[in-house]
Amino acid sequence: MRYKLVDILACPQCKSFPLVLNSKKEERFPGSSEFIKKRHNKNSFECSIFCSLKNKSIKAMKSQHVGTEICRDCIYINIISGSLSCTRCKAEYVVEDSIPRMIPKRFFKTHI
Amino acid sequence: MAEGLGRNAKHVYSAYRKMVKSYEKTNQLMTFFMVNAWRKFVTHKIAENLAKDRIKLPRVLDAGAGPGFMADLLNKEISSDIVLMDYSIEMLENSVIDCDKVQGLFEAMPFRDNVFDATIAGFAFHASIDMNKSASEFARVSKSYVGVVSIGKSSNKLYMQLGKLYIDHMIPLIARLSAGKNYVEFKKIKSIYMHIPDNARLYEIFKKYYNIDTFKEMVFGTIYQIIAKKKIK
Repeated sequence: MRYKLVDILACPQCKSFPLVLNSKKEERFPGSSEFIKKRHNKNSFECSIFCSLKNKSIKAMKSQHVGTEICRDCIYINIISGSLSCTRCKAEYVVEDSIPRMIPKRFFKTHI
Repeated sequence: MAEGLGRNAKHVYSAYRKMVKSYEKTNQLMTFFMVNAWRKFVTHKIAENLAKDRIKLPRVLDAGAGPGFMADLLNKEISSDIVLMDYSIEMLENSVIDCDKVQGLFEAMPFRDNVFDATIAGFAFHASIDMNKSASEFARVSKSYVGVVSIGKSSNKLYMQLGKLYIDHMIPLIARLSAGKNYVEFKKIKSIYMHIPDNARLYEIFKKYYNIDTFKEMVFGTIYQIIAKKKIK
């Protein structure tokens, strides 16, 4: 998963945002990937509310005149493993093989 | 009682996980190679709407994405920032598109409010645990459009029986040809057909949250397509 995903993820149980990312293993994406190519002409911040890489709100980054080029850092990073935690309900979700596993525990017991 | 698979999801979901390799081939055969045309109709309409709104790199959720066939079709029409969501890790790991992936459920979507410009779902909504909750979550996470193509059930009793006959007898036969010994997993589609409400009720469920632009039934109501725009509160 990419850091920018944290800007849209919320806790599936209590809908709290943002989640706290703890990245354990990362690798670099090739710059030739389709995902990155699409962004070459995008002249805006990748995230709209929260930058998980810098752990700052986009509002704060804009007021500090941080250029959008710094924002490009995160799209080259693939988080292979780690976790996402909710500060409100204390739920924790693992990131394994680059995919965040965001299913609340109660569903595993009864439905999945 | 919730409308949808409820606790039966457990055995349907385990079946989907085992179908990954033969999933698309069997889908093609079961629909007499119509599956892509049905998906394309929906992605084309959604792309048209997004283009009209002039959103640069719109953010789109493919809910119940499987390997991302719907997202791939949409991406060919309009360059978009796609997120694939499915409960099956096996399906996501076999995705056909380079984008963000998340394991999640319709009923408890792991996204903040109004974050997607559109939400699409191809042959997935029928596998909801609770359709009312799913539709409300679709509306919560998306700003405007939704496009769904899914297994349905006609409100007409005769058509409903024809659909049941096809699912009881034809699907196991076709699946036997394409999926080999895994064909037993496709038999669990019967459970989906038994638990989904009829199409008239589905229309009502979506109408609660969306202004429906298109609601089309095909093949005796066993397939339906919805193109809708979120109601402004």
